[in-house]
Amino acid sequence: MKMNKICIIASLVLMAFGSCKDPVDNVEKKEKPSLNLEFKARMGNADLAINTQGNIMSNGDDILVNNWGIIMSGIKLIKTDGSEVLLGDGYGYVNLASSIRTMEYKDLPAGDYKGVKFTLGVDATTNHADPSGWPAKHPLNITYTNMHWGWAGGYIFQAFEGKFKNAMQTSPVGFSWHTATDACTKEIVMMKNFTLNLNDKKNGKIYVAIDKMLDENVMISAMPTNHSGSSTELAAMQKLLSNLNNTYSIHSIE
Amino acid sequence: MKYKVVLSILITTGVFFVSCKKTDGINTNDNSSFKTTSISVTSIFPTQFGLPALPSDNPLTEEGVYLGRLLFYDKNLSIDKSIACASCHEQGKAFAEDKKVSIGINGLKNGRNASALFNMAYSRTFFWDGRQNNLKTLVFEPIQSHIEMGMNMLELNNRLKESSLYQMWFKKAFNNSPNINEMSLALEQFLLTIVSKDSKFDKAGPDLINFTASEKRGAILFNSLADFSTGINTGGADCFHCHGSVLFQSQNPIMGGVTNNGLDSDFTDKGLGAITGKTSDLGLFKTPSLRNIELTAPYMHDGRFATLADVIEHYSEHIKFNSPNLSPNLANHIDGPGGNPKQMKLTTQQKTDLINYLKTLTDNELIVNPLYSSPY
Repeated sequence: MKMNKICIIASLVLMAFGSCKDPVDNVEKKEKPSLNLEFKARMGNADLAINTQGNIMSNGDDILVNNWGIIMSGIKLIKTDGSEVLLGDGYGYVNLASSIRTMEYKDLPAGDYKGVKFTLGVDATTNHADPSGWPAKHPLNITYTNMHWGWAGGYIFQAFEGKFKNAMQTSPVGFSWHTATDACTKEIVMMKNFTLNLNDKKNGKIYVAIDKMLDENVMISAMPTNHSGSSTELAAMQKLLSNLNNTYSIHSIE
Repeated sequence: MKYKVVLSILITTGVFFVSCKKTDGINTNDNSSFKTTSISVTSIFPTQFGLPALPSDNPLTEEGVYLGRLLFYDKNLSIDKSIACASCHEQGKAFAEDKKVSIGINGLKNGRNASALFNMAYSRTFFWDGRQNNLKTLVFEPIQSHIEMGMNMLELNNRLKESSLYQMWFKKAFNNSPNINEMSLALEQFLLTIVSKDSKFDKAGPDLINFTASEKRGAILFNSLADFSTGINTGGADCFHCHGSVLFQSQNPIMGGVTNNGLDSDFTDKGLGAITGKTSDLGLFKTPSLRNIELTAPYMHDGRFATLADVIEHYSEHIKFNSPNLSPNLANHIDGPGGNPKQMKLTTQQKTDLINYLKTLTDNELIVNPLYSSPY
């Protein structure tokens, strides 16, 4: 009799631990959504040809781009209810003239969204703090991006470099427009409805239209070098910044 | 009997529990006792440079770095046992050389000057034409080049395997017998650890403490734009655009800092263009770091300039504005909208000041640091 009891107890123990899997393993796991944001430079209805002359702006400047680095902060998804989701630590770096153009985010909250926003540049405190110590490949790591003027000189928020030609200047002339200093941050908001469901791995394409950034009011040829320094330079740079909300758009998230 | 039954049930249950344990982290092969001494990244790389992105597949270890150092200084890596990596990359010259172009086995001339080797952990591209982006792949090129070390891989593998020294250090570094794959990993590790960070400039800080008046003037010139608004240059020497940041080198991600600096308008050496075949890449060469520039004469990819004064003279007076792929940062030296290209025409004093500033980038500790010296 006792032997039977022992056998029954043993059987129950074995049944209880019959499966090696945790109970939750038996349920299909659902992962939080992930989203890649790829930035693409555009000219009209096509991708911008990098390092190539022949991109004619509405102001007549023929622009060749060979460097277009951008530092971002406060990168967020905007939910349909108006609340915002910070992506990572909010900092980002892309160079539209290179292969470094995609930012990857995992474990995002599922839900309905209506847009993406970020600020070109960083806040004044971060801008003038000691830039050393950021991890490798971090957007604010100075030797990763080469977008810092040294010591407390601050970050270059946008490095836009290349050559231009026009009716007056038939041989290519170099240009270098560096958006920097605390006065030159710019919040950019892009609206588009999209949904992130559990298990989603979506790719978003953000278009950056050079022809919208350089309209009639922003003539590179009139000021080939602009480092956001003098009042004249700042005024010209502010015109470029005022174009940025039209420059950026979400093409697709799918 | 009862005890035996209970005991057998408990043992059976225990087996189940054990079998249910995850096996992660349990090393079942013979490598379980193999240990290397890992190197802390912060012990090598200065915070003021920002931490570099090191290869994830080749962590730095003391054993691996030392093996790499053994290999770097070993002439057995060349077919006739006459040339080591260190033959063209001398520590006393910031791991560059004083010849116009490198001399390989049998006195054969390479077409280019040997690049200085330091702070490579921060670089994305290597060689004058920027064709390589991976140090462990790079090391095979000079070893196999018939005008450099002329070695074939079978012979190299045999030489490594026959060496009792390498048998010991490959075992320590990789728990393996000598082989060319892990040879390249060890060389990569050693090269990554060569860091130059102790110049007068590094010790001066933003206020340029202990700089002479000439060095300070040179710093201002270096970091100021040229200004041709009056028809002549009343601004600076505009060096910082291409040699900016704490590394004093270009990191333009599109081409890893490869650019054209107006040396020629017709390219004998096509630079990156010879690799890619693109017209837009003709005459593009890597923009080297200006750290230790005092030690690395002669200058440019072909060693054409013997002195720093010659280099300054080029940028001041002899930019070839008709060079088809001239750097935008030089091609913007014009005297206003619709204007013409202008040479900077620095004064004698300005040239002297610039050279004095550049000499503050010399790292006298790099060239005697025993961690980088020959282990033989």
